[in-house]
Amino acid sequence: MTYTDATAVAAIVRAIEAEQNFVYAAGLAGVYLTGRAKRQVLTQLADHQGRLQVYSQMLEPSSVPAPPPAFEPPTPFTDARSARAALAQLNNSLVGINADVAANTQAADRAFAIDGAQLCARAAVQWGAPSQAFPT
Amino acid sequence: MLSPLPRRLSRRTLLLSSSAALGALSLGVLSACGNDDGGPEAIEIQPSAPEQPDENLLDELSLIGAYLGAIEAFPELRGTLTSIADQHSAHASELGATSEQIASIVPIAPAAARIKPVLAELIARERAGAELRAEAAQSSQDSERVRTLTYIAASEASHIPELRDVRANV
Repeated sequence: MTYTDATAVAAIVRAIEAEQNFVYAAGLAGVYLTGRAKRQVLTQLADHQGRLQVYSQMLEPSSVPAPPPAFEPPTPFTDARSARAALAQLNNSLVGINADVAANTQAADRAFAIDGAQLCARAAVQWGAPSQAFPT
Repeated sequence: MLSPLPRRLSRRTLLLSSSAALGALSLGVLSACGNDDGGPEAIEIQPSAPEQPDENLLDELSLIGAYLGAIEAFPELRGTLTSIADQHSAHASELGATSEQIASIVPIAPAAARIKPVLAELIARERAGAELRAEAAQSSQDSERVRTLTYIAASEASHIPELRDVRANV
């Protein structure tokens, strides 16, 4: 469905912006990763592009934020280790963003956000972060 | 297989049963007071429905018991398992458990005797817990509870790869 309530729109806009940043960061991280890790980041990049599309469809086209020209990762990518750390951090930050969307949407849209939160928390651990009670 | 519930839960169940029985007993006494000789009329009191234990809270407490049991059986797993058990304590607390209630949880002995099947059992419990929390978030009418349960469902989903890592390295 299309959400027009201000709180729901704000939560979905934050999710779209976070997904845009993740897609950018995943592309950048791919430069430093090899083998299985590279395949994993490319799979996640595609998944998050898909999630970006789904979130965009929850809003009026005029409310969908334009992709930023670039993204400054939380820590600079200099090697595979820093790329993994940034991916873990970005995934954990997406948990709360998805939880906010879940709290402000209904039915299949809520299920999609809950699933996103679970996928991101799992991915954060797979990139090397320890699990957290309330991932941030 | 059903795991024995921690002692605290048994006490809680007992208390709930007792309060329902007490309600029924009070009604009986009040009815007996009513008579035809002009004495005070009995007041009809509807017993309040006994509070239903929160399924998600009970499951969190049961998970903590399972981790305590696994740590007791395999102290070499203490590091990761204690960290995950602490996270379940935080979940239980967020769902309404008091620190006294959490502290009184007794370890649940693992069904298996070897370490890998015990870890597999914990993985299965985490998967089931994550699904239960996701379903509860999906059906809740309270947005704050949806947010909390979504966080918890995500946390529990993240325990699965963490436990798989432990299992791969034992």
